[in-house]
Amino acid sequence: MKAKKVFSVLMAAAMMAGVMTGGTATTVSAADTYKVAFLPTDMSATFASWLASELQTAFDQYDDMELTVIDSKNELETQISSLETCVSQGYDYIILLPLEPAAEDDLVEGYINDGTPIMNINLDDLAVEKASSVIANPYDLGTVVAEEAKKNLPEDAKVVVLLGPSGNTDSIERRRAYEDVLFSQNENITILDEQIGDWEKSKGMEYMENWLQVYDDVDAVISMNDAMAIGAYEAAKDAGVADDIQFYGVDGLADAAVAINDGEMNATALQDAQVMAEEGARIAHEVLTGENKDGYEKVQIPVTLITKDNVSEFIDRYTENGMLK
Amino acid sequence: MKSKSKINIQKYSLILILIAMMVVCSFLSSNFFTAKNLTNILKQVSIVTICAFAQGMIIICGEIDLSIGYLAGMAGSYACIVYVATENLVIAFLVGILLGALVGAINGLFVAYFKLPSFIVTLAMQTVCFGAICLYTGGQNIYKIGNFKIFGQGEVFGIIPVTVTFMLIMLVITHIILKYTKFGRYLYAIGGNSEAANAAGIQVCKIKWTAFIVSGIFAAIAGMVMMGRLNAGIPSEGTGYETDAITATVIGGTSFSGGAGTAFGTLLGSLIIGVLNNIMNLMGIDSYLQMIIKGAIIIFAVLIDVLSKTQKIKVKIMAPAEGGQK
Repeated sequence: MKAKKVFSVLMAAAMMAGVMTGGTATTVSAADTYKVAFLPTDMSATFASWLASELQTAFDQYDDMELTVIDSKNELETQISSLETCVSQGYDYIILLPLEPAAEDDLVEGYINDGTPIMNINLDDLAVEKASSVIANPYDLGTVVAEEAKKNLPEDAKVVVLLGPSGNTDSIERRRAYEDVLFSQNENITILDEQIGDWEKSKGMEYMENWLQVYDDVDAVISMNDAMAIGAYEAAKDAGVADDIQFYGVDGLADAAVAINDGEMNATALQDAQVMAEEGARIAHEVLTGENKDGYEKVQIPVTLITKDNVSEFIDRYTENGMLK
Repeated sequence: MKSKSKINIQKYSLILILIAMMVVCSFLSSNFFTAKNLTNILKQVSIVTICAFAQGMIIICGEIDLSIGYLAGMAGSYACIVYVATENLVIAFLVGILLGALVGAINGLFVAYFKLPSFIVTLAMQTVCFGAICLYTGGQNIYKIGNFKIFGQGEVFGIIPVTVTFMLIMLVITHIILKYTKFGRYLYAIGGNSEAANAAGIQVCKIKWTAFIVSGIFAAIAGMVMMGRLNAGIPSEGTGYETDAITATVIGGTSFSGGAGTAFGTLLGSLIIGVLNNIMNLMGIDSYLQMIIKGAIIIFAVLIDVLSKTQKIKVKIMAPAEGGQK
C-alpha cells in the first residue's frame, strides 16, 4: 500500500515536471512576436480541423504572430480550463471556437476586461460586446439551401427531416430557416416525419430504411447536415429509389462535394473556413498592433450554396488542401 | 438434468418476449411484418450484434471491453485507407484484423498479466484508438472507398444482405467457441470463479489474454462491415457501440458478474432492441419519447429475464465447477 502511494507521488511529480518544462518551452518564443492561441472544439471533427489548418496558413502570412492550437476534445470543461491556462500563460490573443457560447460568455467578458482580447470564431451568440466575432450565420446556411429546395421541389412535396443533436444551435437555426423559407410558405408541403439523427451518417441511413417501408413516395430528404443526408441516400440507393428523391444537406465539406459531384445530393451550404481564417487572422493582427482602436471587430462571412453548377471548384479546392485524398 | 430444463426456460423467455413484441408490432403497423422490413431490422442490428458477441465473451469471463466501439472505428477506417492505397480487399481485411488483434492483445496484456481493471484499461484504449486514426486522417473522413463497400452493402446469393451474412458467420463462430471448445468452457469457469478455475489448473491469464484478442478481432470485423455499409471510413461512427453491445448482451441473458451467457441469447437481445427501434420509427414516434420508451422497455425486458432466472442461481454456481473438472 505504501509503495503504491510513493509511486503515485513520484508519478505526480514527474507529470508536474513535464507540464512545467512544456510550459517554459512555449514561453521561450521571441518577445517581438505576438502569441495567439486557437481553442477549437474538437480536432477530430472535420470542420474544426479544417479551420485549424486554414488558420495556421493564414497566420503564416504574418511575421509577427504565432499560432498555437489547443484542442478542447469536445468537452466544455477542457475548453474552459484551456482558456484559463492561456490567459495565465500570457497569450496575447485568444481565438475561441466555442462549444457553448452562452456558457462561456461571462468568462470571455472577464478576461477581455482584464486585458486579453478574445475572438469567437464560427459560433457566437454575440452577447459579449468587446469580443471580436467571425461567424457564418447558421440561419443563413439554412436559408440558401431552403431556397434551392423551394425552387426544385414540387408544390405538394412530401419530405422527411433529419435534425442534429437535441438543443444544438446550428441544427435549431438551420431548421428555423427551413420553416421560414419553405415549410411555412407552402401549405401543401407535407413533413412525413422528423427525427433526431445526431449528425450521424448511420442514423440517417437507418431512419431512411425505415421510412421507405412506411411512405410510398418521399420527394426529398431535408437534413440539417450532410452526413445524415448522405446516409439517407445510401439507404434509398439500396432500396432502388434514390433517383426519385432529392437530398439536401448543410456543411459543404468534402463528403458533400463528392456526393453532389456524383449526382447523389442536390445542394448544400458551406461556411468557408478559409475566408473565416483569413478574416480572423486580419482582425487579430489589427487588434494586436493597435491598428484597430476599438480592440474588437465583428464580421459575418457570406455563406456559399454548393450545387452541381459550382461543385467542381470545391472538389479542386478540397483535393488541393488534402481534405480529399 | 433438472438444472438443464431451467436453462431452457430462461432461453425461451427471451424468444417469447421477442415473439410477443413482433406480434404486437404487426398490429401497430401494417408495414412491420414484411420481408423487406424484417431484412432491414436484421441489417440494422448486425454490426452491433457482432460487437455484442465480442462483448459477451469478455463479460462471460468476468471482464468488460469498453474499447470495442472506438476500435471498430479505428480498424475499419484503417482498412479503408489500406484498400484505397492497394485496391486489394484481402490485404485491407487482413490489416483490419491485425489491428484488432493488436489492440486486443494490448488490452489483454494489461488486464490478464498486470491485473489492471479491464474497465480502466479499455476505457483508456478508447482514446488511444481514436487518436491513432485521427493522427493519420487529421480529423477528415475517408471517402471514395470504391469496392470496400462490398463488406457492408449488397447481398450474398442475391438474397441475404452482406452485413447479415457476417453476423450469422460470427454467430456460428461464437457459438462454437463458447459451446464446443476448451477455451469457451474455461471462459465460463473463469467468470464464475476465477480462483477456483486457477486452482483447477486453468491458465487464467492466457485464457483472458486470448479472450481480449478474439474480442479485438471481432470488433475490427464489425468496424469493416460498418464502413462498408456507410460507404466511407468514418472513425467517429464506432463511438457508442461498446455500450449498445453491453445492452444487447445483458438483455440477452449474459450475467454481468460473469459465468453465464450464450451467443443466441445475445442475438435475441440485439433483435429485441432492433425491433423496438424499428417499430418506433415506423410509427413516427417523437424522438424524445423514443428515448424514454427505449430505456423503459430495456429495464422491463431485463426484469422479466431476471425474474425467470432467479431460481437458476444454483446452476450458475455449479457451472464453473463443471468447467474446472475438465
